Amino acid sequence: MSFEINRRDYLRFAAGGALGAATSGVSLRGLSRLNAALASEEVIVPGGPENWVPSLCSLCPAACGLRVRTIGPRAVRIQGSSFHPVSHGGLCPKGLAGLQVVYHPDRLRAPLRNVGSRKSPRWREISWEEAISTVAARLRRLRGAGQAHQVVWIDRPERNLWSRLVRRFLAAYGSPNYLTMPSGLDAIQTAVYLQQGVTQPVAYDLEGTRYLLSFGVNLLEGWGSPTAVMRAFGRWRDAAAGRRTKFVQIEPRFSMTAARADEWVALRPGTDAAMALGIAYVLITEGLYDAAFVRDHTFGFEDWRDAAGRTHMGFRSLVLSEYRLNDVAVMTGVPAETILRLAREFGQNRPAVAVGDHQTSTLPGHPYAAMAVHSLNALSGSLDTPGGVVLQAELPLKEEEIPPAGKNSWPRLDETPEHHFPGHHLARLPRAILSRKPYPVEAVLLHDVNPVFSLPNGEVFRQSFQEVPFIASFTSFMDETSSLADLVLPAPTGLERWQEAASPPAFPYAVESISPPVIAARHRTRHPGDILLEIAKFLGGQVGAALPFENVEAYLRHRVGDLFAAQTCSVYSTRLDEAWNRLVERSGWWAPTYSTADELWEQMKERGGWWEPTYYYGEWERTARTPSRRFEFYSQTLARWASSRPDFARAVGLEPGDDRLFLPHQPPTVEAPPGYPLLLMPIEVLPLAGGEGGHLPYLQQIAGQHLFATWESWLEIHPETARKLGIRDGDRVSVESPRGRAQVRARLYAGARPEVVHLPLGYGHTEGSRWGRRGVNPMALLDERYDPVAGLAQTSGTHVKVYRS
Amino acid sequence: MIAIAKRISIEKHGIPSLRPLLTGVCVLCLATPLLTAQVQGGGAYFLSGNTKAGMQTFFDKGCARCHAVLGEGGRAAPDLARAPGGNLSAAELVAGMWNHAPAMWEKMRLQRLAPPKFSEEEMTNLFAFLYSVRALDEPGDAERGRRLVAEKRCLECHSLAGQGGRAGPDLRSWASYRNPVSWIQAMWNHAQPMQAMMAARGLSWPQFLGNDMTDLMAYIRTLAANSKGHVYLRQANAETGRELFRQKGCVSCHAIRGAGGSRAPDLGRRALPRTLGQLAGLMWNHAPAMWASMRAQQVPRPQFSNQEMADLIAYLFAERYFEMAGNAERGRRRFEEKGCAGCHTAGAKADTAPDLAGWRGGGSPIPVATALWNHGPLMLEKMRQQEIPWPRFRPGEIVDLLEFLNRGQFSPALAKAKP
Repeated sequence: MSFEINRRDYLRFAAGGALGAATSGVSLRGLSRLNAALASEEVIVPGGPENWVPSLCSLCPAACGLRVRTIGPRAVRIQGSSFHPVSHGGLCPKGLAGLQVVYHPDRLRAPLRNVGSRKSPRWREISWEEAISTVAARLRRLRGAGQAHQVVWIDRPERNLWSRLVRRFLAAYGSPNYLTMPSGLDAIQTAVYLQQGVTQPVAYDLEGTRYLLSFGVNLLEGWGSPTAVMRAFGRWRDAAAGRRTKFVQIEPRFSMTAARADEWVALRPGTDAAMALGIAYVLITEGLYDAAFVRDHTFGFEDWRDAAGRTHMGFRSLVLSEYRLNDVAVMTGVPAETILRLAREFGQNRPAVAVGDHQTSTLPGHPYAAMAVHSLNALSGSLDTPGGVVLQAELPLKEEEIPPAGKNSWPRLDETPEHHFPGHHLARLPRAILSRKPYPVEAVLLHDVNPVFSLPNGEVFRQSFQEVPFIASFTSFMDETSSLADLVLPAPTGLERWQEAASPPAFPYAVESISPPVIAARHRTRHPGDILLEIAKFLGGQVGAALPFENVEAYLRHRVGDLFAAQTCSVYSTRLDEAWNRLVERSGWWAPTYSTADELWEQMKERGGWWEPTYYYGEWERTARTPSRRFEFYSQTLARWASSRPDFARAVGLEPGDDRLFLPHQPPTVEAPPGYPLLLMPIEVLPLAGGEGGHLPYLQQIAGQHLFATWESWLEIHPETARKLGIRDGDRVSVESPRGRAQVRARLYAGARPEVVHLPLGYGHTEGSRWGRRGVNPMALLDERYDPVAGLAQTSGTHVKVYRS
Repeated sequence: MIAIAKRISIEKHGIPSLRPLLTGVCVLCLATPLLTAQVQGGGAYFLSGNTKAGMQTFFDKGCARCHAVLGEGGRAAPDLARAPGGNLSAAELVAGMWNHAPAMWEKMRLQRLAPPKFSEEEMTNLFAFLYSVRALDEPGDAERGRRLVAEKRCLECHSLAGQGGRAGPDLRSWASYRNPVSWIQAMWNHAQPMQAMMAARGLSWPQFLGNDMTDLMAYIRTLAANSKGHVYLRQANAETGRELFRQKGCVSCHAIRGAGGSRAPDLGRRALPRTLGQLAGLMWNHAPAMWASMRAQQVPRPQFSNQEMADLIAYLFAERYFEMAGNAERGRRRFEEKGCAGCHTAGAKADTAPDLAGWRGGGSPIPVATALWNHGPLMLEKMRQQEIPWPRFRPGEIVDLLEFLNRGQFSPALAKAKP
């Protein structure tokens, strides 16, 4: 069966979808629902003075700058802030839906205590005094009993001032268990650690690149900062500037990103590594790689000999022997001519960048595939160069001394004490809880996370949390994980509280945004930071001394003092000021608009934040901290880590001593088990990026616009596959995996491969918002499998069968 | 970046009145300048303007479509922050614009771009921007820096990433310092032991030319593991620098346009490099000769703080901003030789070239540049029709010509004397 689709086909198909949707009344029903959703407070016209107030979007980690129009006590409109260095006035659909978060009818309105059981919770509103004293007393008792380490905090994977506050609290309290949710960048971050030896967040100078190979990265659908990527996308096609960046999307599905790319290459699922290594084959055989860079800054390109005299296979030998063009064409399903042409283009256009593999906001790829893709960046000499891969600049904050109580030897429960794989092995926590090894868990504190819903082993989380004596959750909406808690501590939404945010994922520059509350808190909610500080004060001693701040505002003001002391960078400003500051800083001068920390604080509140507009490229000693102090095609870091794990080779599927264990290579693809012929690959769409946003009517209305599938999940299935299965567009079908079954409406989509079906993330809640409970959650169908290197959940390898319900 | 204020020396030229543009204080740049100065003294033509407004003009008028500044902008035409090299006065900038104008317009015509028009205020701001941005040092070329470390034999004494000597500190300890002026200052203050050690080892005094210092810095940064935090220089004050020039004893040997000692070159007249960092490097290059002279005169060798060095460099740089007065007689001859008199006749009507008598007392590089852009394409067309070649000017010729026009010696008799 041929598998080709072009932009014209896509448009024709989408138009057909639109027609079908319109005639079937889906859109009209959607509009009706939307109107119903807006019927309450959204349409009330308030009275009072009008203001435009700076703020931050809280709906994804990018934290774009906002200007919020207020009338009296109400926020009535949201716009992008042109001062913000990431978004520059832009907003994605999520940001525009922000008001619906504030005025959502299903928000939590007061602290709740579960007076029922974990399995059958019954909620009773309590006072904040009771809520805080309950948590504080529990923590004090555990600490007094020498069980401080048995407290676990689970948070979002962000490196901001908030995370520093919590980590400091835990360090002073005596727990090593500051655990974070996975991120879609985990695989590439693992590759960067294995090949460059650094744990700093990886970033891309997308605006400066001239050729971009994206291996399944949903660049235009929520990856990194959506507004920053869209801005870069605009610059790639800036004809006035006389340049055109070619953007090639390599992935199995004809996604929205693929549709907007210059070229889409339909790849067989799970063969990203082979594709990258096939491109490497051409670069090497045709001499199109940056030989000087490879010679001066890399290790393991050629075969090499270790101290014991043993010869090891290098990257060149591996690629030339195992990834010949025709072999790769067979593996990937991509014609050899296409691979050859792409490789030549990649090699001849500098700076060229390869991104991947297969990242979204939440779905990581595979570490070996990410290593293979990242190796292309080394071959093109695009590491720490303009238009290349860089390391996100760090905030110049003072490293505060860890209080003595934090210096304990208890291992972390996600089993990551001895290495720096950024895999966030949170998925291993349930096993630790259930086995009570290495020690039992006495308390879990959750902040704005929902692992039961968001992770493939959510059900195991649910079971394990039944065993935890005390759980408290800071959240604005009830969710699947919070419903297991003893206490739910309602947080104000973004516009109602002090907010701060550091650099968004994959953004190169150091950024710190701050915004005061725009409006007063609407319900009996309190800032989690204020609660944490109150608890610290209650605990007293070293904990109280470590967090001597009256409230979050005081803490942020204290940290702004650090920024002032650094004597660099500038407050958010106009594009012109930004360009000028960059020119001036690059030549070693600094022209601040403030002369005291108080002035900086006031200006940050007014403009939205502070940032460093300059990146210093080519600082190689900072960029490569591997044993060889070079980029390592052959990861000695991985070799050293694996040397104490005799089962590692078997887990990878290779023999011990095989050099491929430490080189980028194509990992084996998962074979379909009998009876499950189709591969299920979850997808993320921009309105529900990160699997979040389903509780907002605006986003429900636009989530599946390419198929006009709104307000419910849809199963994308290739028309030919559907025909064979007797499925018509719009039929209700069952999707069944070895783990579970779900019913969903089938949508015929020629952009899906015949052997693959897709379900969008973000649907299928069982708790919380009335609108979030629509559709099915693909995570409930996925196999619980983890890669053997970094322990990342492998979410794209579950096979299913599909049949009419 | 640079704010310079200077009162025009009206009496010197006997000009009875000046256009408002040229009176009072001129501020070249921002509300938060790196260099600020209130410099009094001789000089004929100067510019006022706002650097950031000039940057806006640079982008708004489409200059950035073809030209870049320090790499920001188009690639079709030279980077105006880098080319031409050397310290570029307003007259030199005008001369460059004038001479290349026909080629620019032709390129724009091929791209169907209309040549932009400027008000004098916009042109003033644009000049301010270009002058300021040209003073900025570039980040440096690490690869060239690597070669320079070997050529300059830095590692005979200093260590660098575990290699080299131990007599001097590891150069990486300075990696966070982002301004070449800071490096020169540090070297200057430690120059005495350096000089002795180099003499003992038979090493010659290293010279830093062009971007040598920034290239070295770029290379050393590649070897620094921790670049967290950057040390920049805050805005320099040229007025303070002027005072330092006196306090530190510089004035006892050097003069600035005739005011000061005569044992060393007049720094107001000597050709200077383009950037502030390069100017600091020049100071370093001549340090041994300076110190020898100072020793002979029993003048103590001055030490500078980081900011003092910046202020001093700013002062020297600011002094170079002002054009020396031209020579009216030479200007008259240029007016004839270049063929200007053939069209710009006295009492000319609108359909021919305008009467330049109106420029009396108001000639400066700004109106010339403004007129060039606003009327140049038409002028070129007319000249082509009459097969008159486009005249080309050297910077000094522009200044002379302006002086000639300013003095109002443009007479009908002269105008009729066609070449």
